[in-house]
Amino acid sequence: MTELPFISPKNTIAFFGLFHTLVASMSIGTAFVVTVSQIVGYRSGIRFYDQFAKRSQLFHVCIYNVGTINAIGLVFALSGLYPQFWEQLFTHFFWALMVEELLFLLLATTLTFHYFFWDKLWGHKKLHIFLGAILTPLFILQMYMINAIGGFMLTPGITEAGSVTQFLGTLGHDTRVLYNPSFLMLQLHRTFANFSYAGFLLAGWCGFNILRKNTDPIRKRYYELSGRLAFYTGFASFLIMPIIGYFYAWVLKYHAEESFWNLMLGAGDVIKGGIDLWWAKHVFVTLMLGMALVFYKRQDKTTRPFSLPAFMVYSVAAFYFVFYLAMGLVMTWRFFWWMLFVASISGVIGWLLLKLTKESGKLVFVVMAIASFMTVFLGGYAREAARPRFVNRISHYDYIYAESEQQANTFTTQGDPKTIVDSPTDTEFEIRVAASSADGAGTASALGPLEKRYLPVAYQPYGFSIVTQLLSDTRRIGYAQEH
Amino acid sequence: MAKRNEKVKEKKIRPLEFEDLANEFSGVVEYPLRDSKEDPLWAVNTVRLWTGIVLSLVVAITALLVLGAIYD
Amino acid sequence: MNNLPVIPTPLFPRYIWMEEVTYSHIPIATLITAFMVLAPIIEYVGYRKKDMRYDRFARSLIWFSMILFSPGAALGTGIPMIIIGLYPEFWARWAGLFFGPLLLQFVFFLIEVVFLFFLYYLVWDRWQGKKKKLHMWMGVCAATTGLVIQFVWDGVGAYMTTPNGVALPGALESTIWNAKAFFNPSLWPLFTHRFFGNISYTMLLTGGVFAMKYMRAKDPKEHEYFKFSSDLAFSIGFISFFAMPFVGWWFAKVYQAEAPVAYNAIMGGHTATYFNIKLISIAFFVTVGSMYTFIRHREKKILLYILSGLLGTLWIVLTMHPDFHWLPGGVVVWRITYTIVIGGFIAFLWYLRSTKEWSYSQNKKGWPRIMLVAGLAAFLAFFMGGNARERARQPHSVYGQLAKPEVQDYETARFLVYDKCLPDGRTVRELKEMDFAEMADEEILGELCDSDDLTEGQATLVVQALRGGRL
Repeated sequence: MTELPFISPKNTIAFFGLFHTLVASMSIGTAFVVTVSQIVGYRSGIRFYDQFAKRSQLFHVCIYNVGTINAIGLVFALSGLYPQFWEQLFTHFFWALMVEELLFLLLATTLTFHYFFWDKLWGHKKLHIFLGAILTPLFILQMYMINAIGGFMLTPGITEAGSVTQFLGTLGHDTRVLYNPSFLMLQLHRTFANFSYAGFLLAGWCGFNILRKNTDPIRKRYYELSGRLAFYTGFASFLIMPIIGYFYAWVLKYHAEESFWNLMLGAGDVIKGGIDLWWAKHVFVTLMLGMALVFYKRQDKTTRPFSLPAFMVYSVAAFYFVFYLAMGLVMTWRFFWWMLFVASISGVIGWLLLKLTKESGKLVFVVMAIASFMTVFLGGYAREAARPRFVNRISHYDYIYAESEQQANTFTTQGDPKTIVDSPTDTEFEIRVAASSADGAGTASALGPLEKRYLPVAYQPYGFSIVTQLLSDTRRIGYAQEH
Repeated sequence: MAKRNEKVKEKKIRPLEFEDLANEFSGVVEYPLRDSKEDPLWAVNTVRLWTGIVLSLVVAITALLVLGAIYD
Repeated sequence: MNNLPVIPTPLFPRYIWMEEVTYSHIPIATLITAFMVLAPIIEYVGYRKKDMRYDRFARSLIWFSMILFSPGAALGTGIPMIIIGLYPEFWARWAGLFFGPLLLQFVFFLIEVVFLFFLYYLVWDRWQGKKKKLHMWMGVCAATTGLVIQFVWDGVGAYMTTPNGVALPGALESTIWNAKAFFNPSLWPLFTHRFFGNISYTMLLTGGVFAMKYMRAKDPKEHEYFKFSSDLAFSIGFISFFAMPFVGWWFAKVYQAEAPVAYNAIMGGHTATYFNIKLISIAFFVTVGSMYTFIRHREKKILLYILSGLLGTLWIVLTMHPDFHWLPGGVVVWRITYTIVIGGFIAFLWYLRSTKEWSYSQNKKGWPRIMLVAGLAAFLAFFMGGNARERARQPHSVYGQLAKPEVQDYETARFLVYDKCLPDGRTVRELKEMDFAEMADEEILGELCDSDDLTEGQATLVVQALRGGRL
């Protein structure tokens, strides 16, 4: 099988996957921060929030394309390195991915209109803000699809060997695997993680601009305010994370036990270069928590762009404490003490940085941006590394499929080209259509030569298949009239 | 906040903490809402049409997902 | 063979969906590539002439490319997704053969985004002064990367019709790089054809759009600018077209040698209609473009002489081509006829030049509209060209190696007829005109077709196709 000369297949996929996730997550979160910033600017009447939103959206336009390109690199890498796995997965999630492609197009076009028509729609500001606001639910829907796939790889939700066949129901779609056990937790986790990540990253960019020597004082003041807005948006999303994380861990414990213990005990690829990357991720999380809490506490109430009730913030901080306590129970007490230490030290460092900069957030923003980036990087890596390893490029859950559909059997012969060309009345397609039929008899037999080529399997009124059933009669007529 | 909203409707400057600098650096603070008729009609109609398309598709996709969750 | 189900699609057959998703991306990609190639050149011209109109024009090309880039990229991701799902065996084997080039595309795309977005578009104003030359070089880098990307896609795409004797590997036998497969015979003609074709159709269309803006502009400065830019764009598009007949000839020769079935499909076979529509569109915009140039630039004699010469090259192509059999009287009548038509048209253009008829400034509403229609005709020619090329190879996904899963009997039969029953010189048209009702099967197979290695089933199909006329 193929592999690149300088990097192993799984590290190749790790590179593309992480590169894509880091950029795409930033994209998703930036759309949310832009909307918040526009609304705050509109309600307060301060133009600079709108300008900050516009610059962030320009940044978004640029990185959206980078994220798209990374996704394509990932698709090509998987096609070449894990062809059997990829074809099986693709066949299973084809329609979900088609909906996702449609959403990509809607997102790209909405984003383009939102940025490039910014100055043309000043008289219709609410419409413009609404256009930008649509991006967030579109992104959430798009993540819905890809998280279903990612979640399925971690928690297939099916344990009985040979119980899954892709020849039944709607071909190219299976609701059981779409709504797998960890899909919702991954969706929630990634949604708020993306908002948090982008918020902190944009705040870090503002902090960097304040630190630059050639920024004039009035601009520094605006970057300070915009940075705080982005920071608070990120911080608000960050507060929700431990609650989601707790339930995510709960799901993993019962539906992906091996992955759960790989994370908790540090096994397999979770350890890289002697470092437990799960621990490393939590070092950055607690660093962020300690520093953010101190920043929150020290800011004057009037400078906050929107209110975050102190009671809520400190309750969540307490929940974080309990969360790490629970993790200490499961993992090792050293973990709990180390995290407490890091949070405390980072709080002290945050306090010192604020004193140093005379309560300006510039240095805190930059540190938080770096920590946030590392959290997303390490978190994504740890999730994938915790999963049981592929063996001979075949996934750990492959046994759930019917034998002929398992990855080892996906491609039986290497395809003698001549046989495909030379046997028109006995094509692979006909064989597979007959085999695809639910009753095995081949519903093709009742129809003429033209129709049987495209006959789908016997449909039942399922979600996606309602549409295809409604359309199938039209389709048959269309085929009869073809040529 | 209600006071602020009124002032926004009147399209006046809303300085926050740097009133002494706002006049000197005008154009940076004001929120230049303008009459809706000044916007190019083709751009407004394009955005309206596109928003309608997107919302319809979002509703359709969400409906499919819900139906799938219930019936599949 | 792939043991996974073949996914059917609603409303239309699978290949229609695959085709539509692909074609949704291609116009955007070709437009961006062409615009990126032209922008630094036009910027340079403006820099040397110290004429900011050229700079504005170049900038508007890049601005429009930026607007289209995100939707274009999103649509581009749809192509592998739909092919992987609907044609898994083809994808697994083909992407396995070209694993290296596909991964390199990822690198090239990233480089393109960096140059186009960050080093060319975003710094346009800031780098107007001392860094203008550097700015133009950044544009050249962006354009070069765009062309490299196109080159790679052309290599992997051209393989599908001219595999150059390289068999598709098995799905598990992917290779990093196969030079013979990548540098296949139709790569260079396809790349050259697309290079000039993209510039031609995009500039003709842009010229038409700008002409409409010229017609509607109320501000005198805008009016003047769009008059200038529409002329510049339309002229570039029109002049660059004249490479196409020769490149197309080269392309056809390669197909004739390496993929004769595809060649015959286009030349009178089942794809001929699409090709003919393309030629009619070309005839239209060449007519409009010639008249426009002679009227708009009647003072520029050298340009008009050059254009007359370029129109004369069409005569050369027609002379190299066999008789179309449109007219009775054989090849001599045909040659005389087209000589009179082309020569007469050139004479008519010189006559137009000498009169005040259809002056550009007096027909401010007429010319912009006709220019836009010419631009749309050029777009149609581009669309039909790609359509013809892909259909000509049907029902094969890779010529001579892999048929699409939903291949039908008549498609297989047609392929066999084109492959076995059209020796040098015979055309599909001639086959269609033959009467097979009186001929026995053995006679058909023995005398008309090279039937030595046909199986019984194949022979039956060939005879049925010839008798039934579904060619």
